[in-house]
Amino acid sequence: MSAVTGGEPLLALEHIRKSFPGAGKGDAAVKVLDGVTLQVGSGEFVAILGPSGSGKTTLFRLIGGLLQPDSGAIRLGGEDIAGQRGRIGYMPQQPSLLPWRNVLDNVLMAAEIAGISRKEAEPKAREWLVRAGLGGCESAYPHELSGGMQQRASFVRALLGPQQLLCLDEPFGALDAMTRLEMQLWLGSLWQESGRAVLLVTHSIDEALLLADRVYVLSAKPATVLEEVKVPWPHPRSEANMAEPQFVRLRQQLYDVLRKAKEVPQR
Amino acid sequence: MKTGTSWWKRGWPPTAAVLLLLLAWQIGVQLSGIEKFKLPSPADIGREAVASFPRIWMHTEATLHISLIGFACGVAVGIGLALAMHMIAAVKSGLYPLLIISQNIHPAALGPLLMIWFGFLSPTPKIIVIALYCFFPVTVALTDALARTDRGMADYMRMIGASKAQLFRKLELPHALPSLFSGLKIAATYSIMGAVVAEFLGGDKGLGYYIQFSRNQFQTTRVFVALFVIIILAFIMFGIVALLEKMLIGWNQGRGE
Repeated sequence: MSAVTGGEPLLALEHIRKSFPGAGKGDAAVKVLDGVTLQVGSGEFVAILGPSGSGKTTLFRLIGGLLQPDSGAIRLGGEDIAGQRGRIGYMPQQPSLLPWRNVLDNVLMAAEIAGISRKEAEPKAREWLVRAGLGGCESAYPHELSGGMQQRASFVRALLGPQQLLCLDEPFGALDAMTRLEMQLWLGSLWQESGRAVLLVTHSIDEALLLADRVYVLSAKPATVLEEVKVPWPHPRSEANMAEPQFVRLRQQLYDVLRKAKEVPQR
Repeated sequence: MKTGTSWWKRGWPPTAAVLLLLLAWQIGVQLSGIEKFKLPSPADIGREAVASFPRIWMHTEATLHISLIGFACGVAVGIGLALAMHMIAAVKSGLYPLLIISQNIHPAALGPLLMIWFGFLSPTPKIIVIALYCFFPVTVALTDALARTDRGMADYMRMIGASKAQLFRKLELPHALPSLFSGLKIAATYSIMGAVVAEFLGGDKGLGYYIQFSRNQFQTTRVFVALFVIIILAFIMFGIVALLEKMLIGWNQGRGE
C-alpha cells in the first residue's frame, strides 16, 4: 500500500511555511505553518492529527491552491502545484451540497467542473451511490437526507472527480458519536474499493487510528510535524481493532504527543 | 399533495376578512346615511363597475400595457445593474449611493420634467417613472443575495477548480434566485402603482387619468371602481411572479420544514 518507501510519493509537502498578516495595524504576522513536511503515497490513507487551531485548514487551502505558501514546495506526482486549483478532490467539513440539486446532480458536480461529460459520469455516479448506501436517494434533495447521508453524498461527489488525491477536512466532526463510528467504517471500506489516496484532517485520535495507514501529528501554531506513526493493521478494520492492546498503546502515545503539542506556548 | 381542502384552509381567513370588511362598510354607509359623493357603499361601487365596464376596461388595458413595459424595463435595468455591481467592486461602491438617491427623486418632480423632454402624450415618461420604481427592489435583492453566497460552498467550488464563470452559473446565481424573486414580487406590485402615479402626471388614458377625471367631476364611485381595479391588477401581477417562482425554484419549497 505505502508507496512512500518506493519511488515518488503522490503528494509531497516540503518545508511549507505560511504566515498571515496580524489582525490589527502594526501587529506581528501570525505564523501558522512553520516548515511542514509530509508525503502521501498513491492509494495510501494518511491522517493529520492536530490540536484545534493548528493550521490544518490552512494546510488544505494551500494544497487546494486557494493560498500560496510563503516558502516550500507542494508537489503532486512530482509536479509543483502551488496555487493551482482543481488538482485534488475535496470533501469539506460541511457537506456543502447545493440545495437546488438532487443527490445525483450534486454528486456529479466535481465531474462536471472537471469537464467530464454527463454521459460518461452518470452511470458511475449511480453505481457509487448504490455502493455508498444511497441507492434510491438519487432524486432526493439534500434537505431530505440525514447529516450522515449528506456526508456520504459529499464523499461520493469527491470520488467521482478525476483527481487521484482526496482531501477530507474533518468530515465527520458534526455527526453524533454512533453515526460517526458507522461513517468511519463506511469510509474505510469505500476508500479501499476506490483505490484513491486520502489525506484526512481530524482531531479524533480514534478516527485517525481506525482509518489511516500513517498518522502525522501537528503541533499548535506555528505548526510543525511532531510525530509520524505507522498504523499496522490491514484494511478493512473494524471496532474490534479498537480493543487490541496495541491500539490502546498507540492511542496513548498519540494522546501524549497531542497533549504536549497543546502545551507549546504561543510565540 | 396540495388538495382543494388545503387551498381552502389557507384561503378562507383572508377571504373572510375581506368579506367582513366589505360588510361593515356596507352597513356603516347605510346606517350613517353619508352622501354617495363622499363615500359610496360597496354595492354602489359594484353597480357602477358593471355600468361603466367598457370605459373602465379601456383604461385598465392602457394601464396594464404601460405597467408591463415599465416592469420589463425596470427589471432588465435592475438585473443588469446588480450583475455589474457584483462583477466589479468599483461599480458597486460608486453606484450604490446613486441608487438610493434615485429612490428619493419624487415622480411629482421628475414627471413634469420628463414631459417637457419627451412630450405630454409620449409613453416614455411613464415608462421611465415605472422603471424607476421597479428596478430598485430587484437590484438591491439581487446584489445582496449575490454577495451573501454561502462561503463554505464557494470555497468548495474553488477548491475543486471551478472558474469564476462556473462559480457564478452553478452557485451564485441559483443561490440568489429566491431573493431575486422577492425583489420581483415587490417590483410587480410597484409597477401598477407606478403606472397610476405616472398617469396622474399627464396623458389621456389609463386608470390614473380616469381617477383624476372622475374626481374632478365628483364621480366618487368611479374613483373607487378604479381603486378596486388597481388592487386586482396588483394582485394579478404578484400572482404571476409567484407562479413563475414556484415553477422555477420549486426546490426552495419545503426547505427548513
